[in-house]
Amino acid sequence: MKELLDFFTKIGKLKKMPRRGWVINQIKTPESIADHTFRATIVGWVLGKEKSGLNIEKLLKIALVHNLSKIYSGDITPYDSILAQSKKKIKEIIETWPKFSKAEREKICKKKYQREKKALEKLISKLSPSLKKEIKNLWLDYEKGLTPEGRFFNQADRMENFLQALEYWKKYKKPSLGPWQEWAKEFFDDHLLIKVKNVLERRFLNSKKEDDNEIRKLTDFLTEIGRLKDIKRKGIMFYGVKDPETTAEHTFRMTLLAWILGRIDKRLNIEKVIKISLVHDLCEVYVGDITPYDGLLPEDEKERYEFVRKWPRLLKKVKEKRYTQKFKKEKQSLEKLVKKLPQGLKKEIFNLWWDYEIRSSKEGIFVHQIDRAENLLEAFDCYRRDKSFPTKPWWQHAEEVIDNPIILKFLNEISKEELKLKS
Amino acid sequence: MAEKKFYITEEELKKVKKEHKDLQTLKIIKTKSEVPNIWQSEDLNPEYLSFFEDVSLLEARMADLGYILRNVEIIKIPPKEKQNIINVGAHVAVEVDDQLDEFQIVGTLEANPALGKISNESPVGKVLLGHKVGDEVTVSSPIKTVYKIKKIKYLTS
Repeated sequence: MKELLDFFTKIGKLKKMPRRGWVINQIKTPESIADHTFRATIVGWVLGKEKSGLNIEKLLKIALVHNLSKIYSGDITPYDSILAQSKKKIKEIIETWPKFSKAEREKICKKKYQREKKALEKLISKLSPSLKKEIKNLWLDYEKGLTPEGRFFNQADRMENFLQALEYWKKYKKPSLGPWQEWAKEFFDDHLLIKVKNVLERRFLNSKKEDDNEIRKLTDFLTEIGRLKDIKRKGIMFYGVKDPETTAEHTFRMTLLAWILGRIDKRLNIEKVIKISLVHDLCEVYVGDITPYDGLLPEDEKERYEFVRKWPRLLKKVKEKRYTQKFKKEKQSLEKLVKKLPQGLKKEIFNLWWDYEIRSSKEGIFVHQIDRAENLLEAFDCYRRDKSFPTKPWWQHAEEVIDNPIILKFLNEISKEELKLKS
Repeated sequence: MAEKKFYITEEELKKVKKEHKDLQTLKIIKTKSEVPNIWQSEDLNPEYLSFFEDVSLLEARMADLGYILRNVEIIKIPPKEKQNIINVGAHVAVEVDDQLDEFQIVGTLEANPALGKISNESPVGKVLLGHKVGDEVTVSSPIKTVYKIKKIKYLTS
């Protein structure tokens, strides 16, 4: 378990790594790699479902691991080789998509691949042989396009980039759209993804041309869930953390945690575990992050300071009332989000969320507890960075919620680490 | 390895049995490809049933319920002389950090801490079991939390 805790602590770094392409394009507060991976995974799932014959569980896993190497290799972009030679010309450079000869391209790709492979191997070196093998094979599938799932996700991943580029362009008039459109025209060759690209272009460029209605609904959904990259986790902000994680970042690490701890329990359906994790906070798109302290915070600053440093204690009737109110708000928000989706997908997402909320299956119960474990791990990460961060409320809550022996073992490792830091 | 025991109340057992029966009926309907009249039934949640449009999901849920039913242990209200001790099923009032909190100790299937239902296998649930009013128990993690037991109650359903 110690190896897994170290692994997930490193994964947490992806929440703090801004996507370099957007930094180069001077985007204010750009998304992190974890933010991107969250939506890319859902893009892969939602669009992959429209294709026949794809193994969705495998596709989701490929999506979740495809950027793990960046923890050590950094985020390498096509601009890096040019920027290294001419940093001053940055504005000029980003106006065009970098063009390379075939030989140059091969050299750059090979170098990038070698660097990332080495980084991935370093990251997973201490994991169990079977987990190491699984992660490496999934990553290789993405890199080399070994199976239909790897090939499809490679393009779905870029579709998330393309959508994000359009969203930033609409908001900041950056990045320059020309190079992106030119690149997209050359890059996408999957029939469905070409249609999605065209619909996205028309949507963001306000074209009057009629869209494929079904695809338009899917792209609307994918655009809406992008809001989760901007929703800050309020619970952490109470303690003065200036750059709290987003809901998308939390969901990314939580999903990975659910899959990897979940694979220890052979009775769990891992595809369902991953999907429940991915959808569990989609309800926040319109209602934001509702915390257990909402509506209870004292007005007096000193009292408030003390109040958020322990878990709120309530009478059973009050708990029931607050639970019902939160549930109703979040249910309405989710219903609004999925309302226009194709029937099958709409039902699937709604029912997975329902399973999480009601805990109607062993997977729902498991993911509910993993959610709390990820929260605790995030609180511990904050404590590592700033020793005045109070982990007490997170521990108190986790100790009431978690009863799964595998997750309790994981918590025990966090406890040992925290005690080490305290001694 | 010993099978896991699921502690549940009589009320919850009734629910589990009913769900299992409903799904059996639904499965028969599906395999016969008949119009699912069951969907019009007022006492069934259509949102819930729509989940089982996919037969494999339905079968997985039925297997889950079957496993639970085979390993179920009914939570019984203890005799009066033992109702001063916390056992599964007890409603407990505790004082933590100078604030009053209320829990019910339940089995893992019924646990929902947001509603005050704590699993008997969670660190807090486990440490409370077997204690009486006036006892103080501590949950140890990097943070030590003391629970002072104020009241224990068993409710008949």
